[in-house]
Amino acid sequence: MAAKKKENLKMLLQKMEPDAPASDFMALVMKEISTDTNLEVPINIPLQNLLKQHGVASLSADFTNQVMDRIELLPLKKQEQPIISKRAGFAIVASFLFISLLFFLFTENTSTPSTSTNAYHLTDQFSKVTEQLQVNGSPSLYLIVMVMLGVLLGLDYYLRYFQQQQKA
Amino acid sequence: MDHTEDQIYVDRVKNGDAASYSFLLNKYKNMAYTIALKITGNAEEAEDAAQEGFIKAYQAIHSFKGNSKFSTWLYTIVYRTAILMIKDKRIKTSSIDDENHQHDATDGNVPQLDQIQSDEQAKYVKLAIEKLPKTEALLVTLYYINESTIKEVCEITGLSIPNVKIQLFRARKRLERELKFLL
Repeated sequence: MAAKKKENLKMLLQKMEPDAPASDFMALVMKEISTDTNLEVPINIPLQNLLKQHGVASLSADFTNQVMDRIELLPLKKQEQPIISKRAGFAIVASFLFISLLFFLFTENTSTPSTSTNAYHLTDQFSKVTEQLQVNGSPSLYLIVMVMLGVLLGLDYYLRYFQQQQKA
Repeated sequence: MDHTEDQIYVDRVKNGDAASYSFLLNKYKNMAYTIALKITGNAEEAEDAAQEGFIKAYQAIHSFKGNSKFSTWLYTIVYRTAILMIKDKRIKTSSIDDENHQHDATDGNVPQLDQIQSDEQAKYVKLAIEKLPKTEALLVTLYYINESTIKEVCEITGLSIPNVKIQLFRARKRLERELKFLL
């Protein structure tokens, strides 16, 4: 019942014709468009001068003092800067990779089966490196922890760097 | 020139010279307040918003990279602070349109230009701007009074370029009509 009433009302309203504008409406719109399309945003110079002269509200005289008083109590937030610069970061990563490469290249290659996969070869080489370090008294676990810490620090550095770049 | 001068003071503040901020504060306080006033429609709230805006800008000054004008960056903060203030405090501002009949300067007798003193001119200009919808009044303030570019206006308000242009066009036509006797 309610739905029918709603439908009837809708039909009744749709029967009404929209209000017609004045006969010269189109001509006026076209005139406005033709006069203003050439300029990006039209400026009426006398109007602008009038607005500039009287359009700015002024604040109480002690506004500056109030703000400065509050500011003096606030510590200025220092922008967090990475401890090492971007260039130094790249240099550290490059040196790390270079030393790692040297370790892998100059470690003795003994009885590695020719059928072994690359992954197996890499882990084998890594264990050889850790074995060599163990000779000097450093257990392999320490080396792994150091490498992982290095990776995490590197990631932290670059994530912070890119975050700052995005903010800027 | 202005841009460079601002940057000098911004750098000083960044280096820990808080007193240099008073230069920027004095230079932009009235426009910041005017922008906040257009949004809040209330003098007291506008002053609070302007004050908060300046403090936020000071605290975040290290993030200002100088890619845009300092004023544009500052006004964006003031604009957002005022918007947030309205939302937070649920300020009920009276519709400008409701007051039109009370303040319509062009209704009835039109004053003669030579009779109108400067303070009276200011009153009519203020009323004409107040009659505009809030966004249009803000855009007029930024574009015509502060002489910001369309791009800067869009940056501050977050509105699209066509939207800004349409609203400015409408506002200009209305102001021309309202202030015809002063132009």
